[in-house]
Amino acid sequence: MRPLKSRPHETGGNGRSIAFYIETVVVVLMLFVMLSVVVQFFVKSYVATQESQVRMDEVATARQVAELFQSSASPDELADALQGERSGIDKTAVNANVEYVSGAPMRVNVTISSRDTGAGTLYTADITVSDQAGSRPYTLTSERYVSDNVAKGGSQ
Amino acid sequence: MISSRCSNRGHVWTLLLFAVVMLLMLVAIVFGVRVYDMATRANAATTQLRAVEGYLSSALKANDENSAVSVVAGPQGDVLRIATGDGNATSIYLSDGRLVEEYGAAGNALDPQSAVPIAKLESFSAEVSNNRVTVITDVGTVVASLRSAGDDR
Repeated sequence: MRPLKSRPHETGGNGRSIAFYIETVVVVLMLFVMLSVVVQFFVKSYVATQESQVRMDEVATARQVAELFQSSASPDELADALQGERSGIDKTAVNANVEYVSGAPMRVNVTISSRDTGAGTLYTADITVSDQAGSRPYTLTSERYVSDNVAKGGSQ
Repeated sequence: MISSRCSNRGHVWTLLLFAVVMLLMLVAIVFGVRVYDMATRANAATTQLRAVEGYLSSALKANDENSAVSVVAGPQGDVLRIATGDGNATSIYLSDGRLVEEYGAAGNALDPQSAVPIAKLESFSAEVSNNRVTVITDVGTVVASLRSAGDDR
């Protein structure tokens, strides 16, 4: 039996087969594909971290604004405390830019509505907090009851 | 001679391929480490903020009594003093880069050695209005409304 000889067109002319070079190109391409998948995971993780950070800052800011609403006697006082502007016709609204979390300036919108409960008034504030870009706002509702006795000078 | 040159070219090709693979893996690892570092830092900052905010809110709300909260000047800035009604008070202040809590007789001088550390902080100042306490720290601002303010009326 005669030994098999490699055919001339299968060699690159330098002792290595063309298949070897094709294989290396395929390996590099596969590596790029795998790396792109890994990088995508990293980018998703980064984006999730950023969004989580913004959401936490929004929640913390909304809590502080809710405390301000609880301790404010009127929308004007709330606007003063937030150093914002009061607006609205049907419902009172207060808009402000605050930075209750260091390094995280937020846009705050507080819409205040009131409802007579017979013995007093229930004020409801819808607090909406978002970052400067305005993406994915967080809303917190806070209520404050003011007895008619308080309005007349009695205790709350 | 020609065979040796071809063999060297083959080695260079293999080495180049290995270098490319290693470089890409290094870039991916460095990128991953940076993302992890960023996530950890964000988590730490959030945890510190929540620790300070949660502690201050709880301390103020738990002892929300008429004229119980006051601010006095201390050796390292403001001291938030919350009277507990039995002649004692909880003093919250900054000591050596830490927010500490000290419980003792209301008139006693501060003793940071016996204080309990709460969180690492660089700045701490407090302000009490008639129905609101505002605490400003380097991590953020904490506002607490005092329901007991209505007792004055």
